[in-house]
This record gives sequence, structure tokens and C-alpha cells, in this order.
Amino acid sequence: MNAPRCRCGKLRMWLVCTGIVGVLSTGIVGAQDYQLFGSVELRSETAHRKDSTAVTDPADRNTWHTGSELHLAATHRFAFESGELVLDHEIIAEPTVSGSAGTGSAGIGSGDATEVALTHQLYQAYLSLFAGPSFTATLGRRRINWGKAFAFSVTDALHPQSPDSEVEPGFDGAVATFLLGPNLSLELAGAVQEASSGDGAIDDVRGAAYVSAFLAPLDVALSYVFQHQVINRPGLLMSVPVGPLLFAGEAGVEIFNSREDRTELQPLASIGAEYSIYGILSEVTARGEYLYNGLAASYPASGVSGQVVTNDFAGGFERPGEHYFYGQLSYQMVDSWYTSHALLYNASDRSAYIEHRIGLVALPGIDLDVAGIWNSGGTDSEFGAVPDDLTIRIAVKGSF
Amino acid sequence: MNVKTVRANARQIALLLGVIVTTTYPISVAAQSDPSGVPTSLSAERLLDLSDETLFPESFVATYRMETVRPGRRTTGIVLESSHLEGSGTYMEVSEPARSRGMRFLQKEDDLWMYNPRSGSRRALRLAPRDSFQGSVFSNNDVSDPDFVDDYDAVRAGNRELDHPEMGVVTITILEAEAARDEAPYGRLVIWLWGGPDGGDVLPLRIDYYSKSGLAFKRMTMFEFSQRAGGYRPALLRMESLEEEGVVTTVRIEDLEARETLPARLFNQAELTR
Repeated sequence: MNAPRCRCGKLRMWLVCTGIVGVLSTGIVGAQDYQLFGSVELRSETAHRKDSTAVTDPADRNTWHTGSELHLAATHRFAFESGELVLDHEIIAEPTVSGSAGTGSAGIGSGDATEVALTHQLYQAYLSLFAGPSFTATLGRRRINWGKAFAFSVTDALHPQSPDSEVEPGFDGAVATFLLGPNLSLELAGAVQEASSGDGAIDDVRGAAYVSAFLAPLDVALSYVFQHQVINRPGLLMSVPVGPLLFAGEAGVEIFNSREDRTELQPLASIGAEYSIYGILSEVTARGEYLYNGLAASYPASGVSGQVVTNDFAGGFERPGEHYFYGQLSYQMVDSWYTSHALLYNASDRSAYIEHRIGLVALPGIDLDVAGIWNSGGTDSEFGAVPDDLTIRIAVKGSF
Repeated sequence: MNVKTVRANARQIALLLGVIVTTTYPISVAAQSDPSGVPTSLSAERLLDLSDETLFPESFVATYRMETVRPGRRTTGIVLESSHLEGSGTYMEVSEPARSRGMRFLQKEDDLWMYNPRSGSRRALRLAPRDSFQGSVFSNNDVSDPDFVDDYDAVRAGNRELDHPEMGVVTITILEAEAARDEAPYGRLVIWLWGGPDGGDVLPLRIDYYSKSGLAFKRMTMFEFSQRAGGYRPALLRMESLEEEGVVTTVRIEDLEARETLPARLFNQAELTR
């Protein structure tokens, strides 16, 4: 399963530890309010490995593999008079297979599950201080409210991103939030992932500014991300309702070509629309979006595989394709059941990610979800490079 | 007369005038009320304003317990902590059920954003104000923006009898409010106002909601009036769908506290996903 894995550098570790120490010292001791919510989820998955070179081990080709994971996700929120501490994390328990795996009589991989591997994912851990009615300072790992697009944000080069990660982790660093008016805010952020995981040079600190304004009915934002000799990207983001549709778009330009170490204007854009009806008995949502990635030539994805992970760095947007189409259609009988169908198509290499879901939410506090995920395309394509072409996943989740 | 005598006489005159005003004011208001007890001296716009103020103070924090009954389906509930600051917007956070705990809503003017921290996303979703709020008969706008006075032009439309489940048969004043701008969530509202047991009050006992096509599609009835948050207000709101038979949402306002001010950060998008 494709869960993002963390790697801790010194500076980042220091920042994360600052948050944790803050939780222990300021938060727990001084907290006036503690809030906890989360979920326990059991997932079972059966996946078919392709009969292609996308699967490196020939013995693994054209086989079915099964596995299970237990996910314990929790968000802790300690609120006190002049700030708050937030810890958002997940523990994943996965039985590991020891001994030799065989293909079995039906081509189903098998083995003896003798151990359980525990993985801890820290999505957010930060300390916020309300240093006045219009200013908040944050230190630690957090994500900020960035983006208007539906599939992914082409202007966001601040947050770590993974094409197939279910959770968008925060970046490690500091944020200063200025509330300039009831409908206007400025966020200044500094991300230190690359500085901490590399040689610690100050040049590797990535800075970002995000100005958000609501000029009813236009919701608009200006963004800017900068890292010396790596990123120099201004952006414009907006959403506006027009009749029954909500239009959302982003436009940006990457000014620096880091591969050729020169200035070059590389455009990025997305435009999409959403139609939704949230009724008393049922809900319908339909979305469509086109995304253009002018960085396809100069920023090829560094690790396209079934385990694409970019949360080691403030790597931001790293898609290999130039043209993308995204579509989603979902229907829900309120508090009863739902179905959702999504497609992300890379038109440049003609590969696609298709996801079908159906779920039951009729039981109080317990959700049942069945997903069918298809990856199609050539071996050297974005989604075709994923070893599994079909995955069936069944999940039972209890919330607390 | 010396200065002391003049001051003493002035105090006596002021006291006398105060007594006269105090004792005659309710009589004069009652004399200016129609059979519903609603003062006739007040304009329709002012009545709409007072009706809004009866439901909620200008700025407040509140806890809502919302339950929706649908025939043949299980009853569902949600508990919300709401903060409303006049001129800034409304911030709400779900505390129950467990599945939705932590979900947040921010309303500003005619727009609403929702952020679900469990989604793992950093982006807040923008919702339409006319849509149903979490599958209830209440719309997003009903829950987050309880004021009508900014969006509707009101006129008095005479008196009628209302058989209220709690108050019995009472005479009320009908206030008809037409949408004053395209962004208003409803085409027309009919507000049933009562002057209270002693007359002189402006108590909305019922509101009928009409779509822009003229269809009456839901009705809200107010119950359990009592003195709270500086006014005589209902504690229970019952919204009934006229389109889906038997579908009813009740909102119990468990806590209601009027506030002069609230932290500005609550009403800013930047803080919604924190």
C-alpha cells in the first residue's frame, strides 16, 4: 500500500521535536481544552501484479497478492488562551511476510505472517501562538489552506506532495499569519525540509507567501514560492460560482529552470468546474478539470513507481505529464450509502488512474468502503509504471 | 429658592415624569398593537429586524443539537458549536457524531466553506448556500447566516389565526418578505409574528419558505420560548420539508450566549484548515 514514509534530518527533527516538546510542556500543562478525534481502520487488499517489466521480479509477474493493514489515525488538539498545539498522526500496523513467497496453485502469493511492522506517520505537529488579534505564529510541521484546483494544485511548491498519497502532510518550518481584514490574510512560510536533509545550507530553505482575499463572490489568492537556484514561482488562484457551477482555476509560472540552471518561463495552469446538489435525501457531485504542466520537461518526477513519495522534501509539484484531465462523479444517499468514480488521465503518456468506490455509512460510527483501483498505461508511463494494474480494497472504519 | 431647593424640585419632577412614563408606556404600546399584540407603530422592516433578533442575538456563541427524521431511515444527529460575529461571518465546528467530529464550516456573506480534517486535504471545499446542511432540512444559509433583514424587503400582510402546538390558537401578524437581491437564498418568506402573552413583543412562531419559482417547500416552527441571552427566544426550531413527506429536522439550541466580540481569526479562511 502506498503510504508516505518519512525521513528526518537534523533541522527538521529539531522543529518536529519543538512541536512535541511544546505539546508536552505548554500544551498539556496549560491546555484549557483538549480535543481528540480519529479512526481505527482495517484494510484488506488484493492486487494483481502486471505481466510486464513494471514488475521487477519476473516471478512476481501476473500474480495476485493480498495484504492487510490496521490504521490508527488520531488528531490531538490542545487549546489554551493564547494558542494551540496540534498533533495529527497515524500508526499503521502491517503483517510482514517471512519465508519464501510462492505463487500458489491459483497464482496467489502466500507466506507466513510472523511479524507486524509498525509505521508511524506524522502529518502535522505544530505549536501556534496567537500573538495578537491579527497575528499568529506557527512552528513545526503543518499544512496551510492552499489551492483551489480539484485534482492537485499546480501553484503549490511548498507542501510535500505525492501523486497517490491519501494524506497531504505538512511542511516542516514556520508560518506567520497576518489577518489584514475580515476577508484578507497573508501567510509567510519558511520550509526547511531540504535544508535539513541536505547539507544544511540556508539556500535550501524554501520561502512562500500566500495572500488570500474574498471579494464576494470571487475567492482569490496570490502565491509566491522561492528557493535559491531551484524555485521561483508566482501564482494566481481563484474560484467563483456562476449559476449552478463553481469554477476554480490556478495559473502560475516557474521562472527558473533548475535542470539547465537558467531563467525560463514555464507556465502552469488548471481550470475546472464543479456541479453539486446537496439535498435532504441525496447528494450529487460532478467535477471536471484540465491541468497543464509546463514543467514536464524540466522537472521529471524523481521516482515514479508504486511507492512515489515526495514528503521527504518540500518538493512540491512534480508531475511527469504535460496535460492532465480529471473527472469525478459521486452520489450519496445521505447517511446510507455512497458511490464515487474518479479518473486522472495523463494525456501526455496516455496513462490513467481510475478509482471506483462504493460504501456504506448507515451504521452509527462505522463505515464500510470497497474500492477498485485501476492503473493503466505503458511501462514507462506515470500510472502504467505502477506494478499493480488492479487493486481491490475493502476497509472497515470506526470513528472516535 | 436656593440651589438645593431647585435641585430637589427638579428630582421630584423627574421622578413624577418617570412614574407617568413607566405606568403609561405599556398601555400606549398595547393601544398601538393589532389583535396579534405586535406593535403597529413599527415598520415592516423593523419587524423583520426584531424577528431576526428574537431568534438570535447580533453576535453569539451557541451549541446546536440537530436531528433529522426521514421515514424508513434511521434518525441522524449532529452537534455543532457555532460562533457568529455580525459583519464577519459564522464559524461552526462539529462535535458529534464521531464520524464528523472536527469538521468545520466558515460562512462569509453568501458563501460557505467546509473543511474536514479527516480528509487529509489542505483545501477547504466551497459549498452553495442554498444546499442542504449535512442532509438536514436546514440549508447551509439557514444554519450559518440567521439574519433575513439584509436580503429581503418586508411588508405587513394582515392578521391570521395560527394553531401553534405549544401556544394554542393565537392571532398573529403576517409579515411577507420578498428577496431583495438575486443572491438571497429564498424567493419569499412568510413570517408569522406574535406579540406574546402580554402583547408588545415580536415573536416569530413560524416561517414559511418559498423557492424563487413560488413553491412553498419548507416550514419552520419555533418552540420553548424563554428568557435567554438577553431576550425572549425559542430554544427549539422544527423545520419540516413540504417536498419530502415526513422529513423533519429539529434544532435544539442547547447553549446560547450573546457576545460583544469574538476572535477575528475564527472568521478567516487562513485559519479554517489549521
